[in-house]
Amino acid sequence: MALIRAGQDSTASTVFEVLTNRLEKEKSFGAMYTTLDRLVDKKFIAVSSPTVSKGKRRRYFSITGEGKRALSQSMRLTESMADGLVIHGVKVGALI
Amino acid sequence: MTDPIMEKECNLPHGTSKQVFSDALTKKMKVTASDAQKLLSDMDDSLKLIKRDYHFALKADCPSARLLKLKKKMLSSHKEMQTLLEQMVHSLNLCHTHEIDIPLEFTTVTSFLKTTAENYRDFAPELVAEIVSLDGSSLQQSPPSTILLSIILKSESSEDIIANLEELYGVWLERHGQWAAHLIFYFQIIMCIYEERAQTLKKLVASTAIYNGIKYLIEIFKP
Repeated sequence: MALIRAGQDSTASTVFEVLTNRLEKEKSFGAMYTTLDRLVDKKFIAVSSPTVSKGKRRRYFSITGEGKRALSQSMRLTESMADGLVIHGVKVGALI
Repeated sequence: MTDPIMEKECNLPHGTSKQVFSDALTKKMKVTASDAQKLLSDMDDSLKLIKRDYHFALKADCPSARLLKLKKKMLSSHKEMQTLLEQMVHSLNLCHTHEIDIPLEFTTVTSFLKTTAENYRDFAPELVAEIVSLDGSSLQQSPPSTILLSIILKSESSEDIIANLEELYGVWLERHGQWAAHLIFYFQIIMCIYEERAQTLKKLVASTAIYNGIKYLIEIFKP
């Protein structure tokens, strides 16, 4: 989701910034980077061939169609699991 | 430019670069008015594109690092034009920049900058001060050493990770100050190494488990 918010061809730092801004909490960049790598392996994210910028090889990430499908499916599953569930008097389904 | 204020002693080719033009002015070479106007309008076009990108980024609620980068780009482009105009005024012995047709986008960006700076009196020194402070801060912003990452991780991923962390360092510096930014930077480096190693270890454990499983099955079904 952070990658979708960051836009197509985003660098990992842009995605990380979107993530920390949204969660209002400092996260581990390394964890996010390896997650991106894993999603690339699963073909949910496409990575552009490394381009050299300021003498360093940069990778630009974009979400694939398969990734969007997987995300919406996962959202649907979460919604159906949360439907009608009440924790501490709060309807969980309403929060999603 | 309304008058042929620059005499035709040296005709610079069309599409002359900023550097050549600037050098020509510094060396007191005479250049044509149309050359100057053409160059100014080219620079104005590129300034327009940067300004458009900045406004798009602002509307799209882009991360502050990207906004800052675009603003820096806009400021430096504006500064370039400002320097060129000053050089033109100086080398042509004009009293005022009013004697030159100031391009539209340059004027718009100037007024934009005026509205963003408080107690604004004279835009040129103010702008120069802002540029200097940005450049100065970028000098101070040099992040700590990343040699550990270069040594431990594979070069293809380490280069990208370092570039990303260096970008993020600017944001941390802005938010938390230099000392905290240093700490966060080192912490993130350690976490990157830990995550990378953990990933490798997981793969190793998984492959060992598969290997042992196959070995076990072979042992069971051995006649």
